[in-house]
Amino acid sequence: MARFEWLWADTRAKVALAWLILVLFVAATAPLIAPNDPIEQNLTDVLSEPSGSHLLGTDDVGRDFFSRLLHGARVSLFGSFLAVTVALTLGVPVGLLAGYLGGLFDNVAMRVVDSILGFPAIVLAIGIVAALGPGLRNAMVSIGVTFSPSVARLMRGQVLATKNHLYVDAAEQFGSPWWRTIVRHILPNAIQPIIVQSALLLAVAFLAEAALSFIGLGAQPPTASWGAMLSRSAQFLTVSPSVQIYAPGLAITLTVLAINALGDSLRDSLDPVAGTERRTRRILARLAKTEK
Amino acid sequence: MLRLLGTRLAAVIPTLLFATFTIFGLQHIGPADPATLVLGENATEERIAEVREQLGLNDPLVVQYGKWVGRVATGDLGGSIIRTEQVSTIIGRALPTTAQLVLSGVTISVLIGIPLGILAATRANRATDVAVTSGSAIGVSIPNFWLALVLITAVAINWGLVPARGFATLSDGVGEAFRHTILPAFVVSMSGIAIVTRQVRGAMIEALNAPSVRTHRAKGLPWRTIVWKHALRNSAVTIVTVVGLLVNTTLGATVVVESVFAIPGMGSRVIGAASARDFPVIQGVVLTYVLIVLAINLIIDIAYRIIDPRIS
Amino acid sequence: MIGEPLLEVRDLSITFRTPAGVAQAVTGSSFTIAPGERVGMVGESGSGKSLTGLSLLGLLPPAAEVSGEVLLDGRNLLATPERELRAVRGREVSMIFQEPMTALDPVFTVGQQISATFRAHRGVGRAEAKRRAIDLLGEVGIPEPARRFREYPHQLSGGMRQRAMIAMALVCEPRLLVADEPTTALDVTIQAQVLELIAQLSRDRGTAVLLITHDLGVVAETCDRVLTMYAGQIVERCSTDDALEFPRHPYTSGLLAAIPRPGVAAEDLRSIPGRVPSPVDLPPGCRFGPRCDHHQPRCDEAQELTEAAPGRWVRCCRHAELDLPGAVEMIG
Repeated sequence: MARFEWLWADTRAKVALAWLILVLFVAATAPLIAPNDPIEQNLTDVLSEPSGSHLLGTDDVGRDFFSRLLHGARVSLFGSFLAVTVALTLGVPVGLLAGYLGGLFDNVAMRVVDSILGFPAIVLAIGIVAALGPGLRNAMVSIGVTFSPSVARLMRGQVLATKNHLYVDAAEQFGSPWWRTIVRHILPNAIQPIIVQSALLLAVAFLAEAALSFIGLGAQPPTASWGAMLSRSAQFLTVSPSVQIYAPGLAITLTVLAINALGDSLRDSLDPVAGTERRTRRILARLAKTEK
Repeated sequence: MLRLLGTRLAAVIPTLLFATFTIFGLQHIGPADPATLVLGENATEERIAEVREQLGLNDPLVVQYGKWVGRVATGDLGGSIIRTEQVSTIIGRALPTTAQLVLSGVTISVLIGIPLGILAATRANRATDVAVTSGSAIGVSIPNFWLALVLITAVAINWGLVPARGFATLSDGVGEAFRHTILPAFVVSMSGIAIVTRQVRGAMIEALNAPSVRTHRAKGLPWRTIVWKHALRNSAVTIVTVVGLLVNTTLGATVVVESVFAIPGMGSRVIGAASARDFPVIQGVVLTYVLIVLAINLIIDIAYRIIDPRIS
Repeated sequence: MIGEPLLEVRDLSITFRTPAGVAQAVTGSSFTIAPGERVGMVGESGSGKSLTGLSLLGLLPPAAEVSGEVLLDGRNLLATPERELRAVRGREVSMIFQEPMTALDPVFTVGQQISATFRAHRGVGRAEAKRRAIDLLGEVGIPEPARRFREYPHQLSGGMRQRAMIAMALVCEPRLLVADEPTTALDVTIQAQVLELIAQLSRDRGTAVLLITHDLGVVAETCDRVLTMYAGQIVERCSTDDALEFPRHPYTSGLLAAIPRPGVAAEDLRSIPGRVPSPVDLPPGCRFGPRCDHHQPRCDEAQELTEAAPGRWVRCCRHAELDLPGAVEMIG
C-alpha cells in the first residue's frame, strides 16, 4: 500500500483518479447501463432537446445522445490505449537496442527518430491513415507510430544511464547473455519513467483520437466516439441542442486533464528528487522575493 | 557564422533524406495499389498494368524513390489525382493562408504566454500562480476543434462579432483579414499559450533564484528591472526553444482547426486529400511541413548562439 | 570607540519558522563599525554570518523574522521600506559574494553590470557610466579595462571576476562594503591579491568593510577588529591582535588552530571536532559547550557576552581562568 501513498497525499490526483475510474466503469458497462441502443435510429425524433426519455436529446438521425456518450467512452479509451501500446511496442525495443548496442545501430536509429520527430505528429498520422485506410484501428496505429520515437529516445537515455552501473558489468562478466542482462537489469530500471511517459502519451493519444475521428479518419459511422459525435454536432451546429456540443467536449477535456494530472503526480512520486527539488524551488522562490 | 550554417545544413541532410523516404513510402505501405488509386476501382487489368508501367511502379522501390526525389527537388510535386491541378499550385494557394494563421497563433501564444509565465513565476505557489498553472493544464487538455466549435457558437453565431467560416488573407485588406483570423488564431494558440506559460514559468523561477539576482538586488536595482530585464534575458534560451516548438505545435493545431472554420489552408487540403487518398497532395503538404519545421530548427539553433554568450 | 559609528547593530535576531521548529539563525547580535574601519566576522558555515551580512542591506529572505535594529547613520534599515532601501543598496552599503561566476549575471557584459549600478543611483548617461566603469576596472587592477568592459563574466579568470565584482560594488563610493567570503572560491595566490586589493581600496577611500569568512587567517591579514560568531551568537568581539595573541573564547582558539599555514599539511590542521548544532535544536547553555574541551557543569547555563577587558567582550564564563593558545604559540 505504501507504493500508492502518493495518490492519497495529492488531492489533485485523487480527484483525477475518481474521474478516470468513473470513465473506465462507464466504458466497461456501457451496454448494460446505457438506456438506449447507441446506433438505433429514429428519424421521427431527430435533434430533440434533452427530455425525460432522452437525457441529452437525440442526434441528427434520432439516436439517443446520452447512450452514445456512454458508448463513446469505450471507443475513445480503446483507441488511446491502442496508440500507446503501439508506441511502446515499437519504441521500447528500438530504444533498448540503440542504447545497449550503441554504434551504427544507435546512430541510424536516432537519425530515424529525429526525422520522425521533425514531422508535426498529426500530419504524419493523417498521411499514414490515408495509406492504411480510415478507421479507428488504423488511425490509432498511425498515432502510435508517430509517438514511438519519443518512447525510443527516452528508453535509450534510460539504458545509457543504467548501462555503466556495476551490476550490469558484473552480470556481463559472469557470462550472462545480452538479452538476459537487458531483461533482468536494464529494463526494470527503465520501467518507471516509461510508465510516466505512457501516461502522458495516453492523454495526447486521447486528444488525437478525438481529432482524427472528428475529421472522419478515425471511428467510422455508426460507431460512437466522442470526437465523431462532435463531428456530427458540428455539422448541425446551429440546430443541434447546445448540450450536444458541450457534453462530448467536456468529457474529452476532463478525461485528458485527469490523465495528465495523474501522470504528473506519478512522476513526482517516482522521482522523489524532482519532487523535493520542486518543493525546494517553491520555497526558494518565496524566499527570493520581498517586494509585495 | 557562415561555417556554422554550413555544418548545420549538412547535419540536416540525413534527417531530410529519411523524412523524404518516409513521405515517398506513404503510398506504398497501404494495401491499395497506387495505379488503382489513380484509375479507380473499376479499371481493367490491362489498363492498370499500363499505368503501372507509366508511373514506373515496376521499377525497384529505390529507383522510384530516386526519380521522385529528383522531381521534387526541382519543385515538381506532380499533379493531384482528384483535382486537375498541380500540387505545387494547390500548396502555393494554401500556404499563405496557413502561414498567416500559424504566425498569428504563435504571436498570440508568445504575447499571452510570456507575461503569464512571468506573473506565475514571481508569485510562485501563491493564488495567482496556482490559477495560472491550472489554467495552463486545462489549456493543453482542451481539444482545439471543440474550443473552435464553442467559440464559433458564442462569438460568431450568437454575438455575430466575427464570421463563423471562411478566411481572408492580408491581400483582402487588413480589417477583413483580422476579422477572419482572430478567432481561429486564438484557438490554435491555446495549447501554445499553455506550453509557453509553463516553460517560461519554470525558466523564470530558476532565473530568479540564481545568485546573480541577489547581486542585482544588492546593487540597488529595482525588482521590476531584475525580473523584466535580467531574469527574462537569462530565460531567453528556454523562450527561443519554446517558440521553435510552438511552430510545430501550432502547425499541428491548424490542421483540424482549419477544417472547423472552413479555412482553405494546408490542413483542409491534407484532410481532403487523405479522405480521397490523393497521395501527391498528401506528400506535398507533409513535405512542406517538414521543410518548415527543419528550417525553424535551424533558425533556433543559430539564435541560441546570438542570445547566450556562453554557447559558442 | 571614537566618534559616531557608521553602522550600529543592536540586539539583532533572525529566526525562521520551519516544520522542525523555530530556527534561530542569529541571536542577540550587537556590534558597531566605525567609518573606514575593517571588521572581520568569522565562524563556520551555519553560524549566521551571511544572514547578518545580508541584513545590513535589508536583503534578508522574506521568510526571515527579524528583531533588533540595524542603524546606518542612526537610521534603522530593518524598518526602512523596500523603495528607500534600494537607494541604500549599492550606494551606501555594497556587497560582494563568494562565487563571482554565479554572482555575476552570465548574459550581460561586465561593463553593462557595472554601469547599471552607477546609472541606477546617479542617473547619468550611458557614456559617462561607461567611462566611470572603465576607470574603476583599471583601479581594481584589471589590465585592458576598455576591452574587459565588453567581455562576459565567463571570459574572465576567477580572480578577474572577483575584481570586477569589487569594481561593481565600489562604483558609487559606498561607505560600507560587506564582503561575504570574497576569496573562498579563489586560488591561494589570487586570494592574497584580492584581500590586499580590498584592504588597499578601503584605506584609500575610507570605505568601511565587514569581511565575512570562515578563515581567521584572512581576517588577520586585513581587519582591525574581529567578531567571532558561533551558532548565531557573537562569542568574542575584540581587536584582531588580541584575538590572535590571546584568544579568550575556546572557539576562537579553535579557529586559530585551523588556519592554513605554510609548513603544515592540510590534514594536520586541527579542525574542531563535532559539528555546529542545528539552529532548531540549540543547547540551552553555552552553544559551544558540547564541542568544548573546557566544558564544565556551569557552562550549561546561558552565557552572556561580558566585557573581559576594555574593548574585549567574551561569551564564556571561564574566560578569566583559561589560558588558551594563541597564534604565536601554535606557530612556535
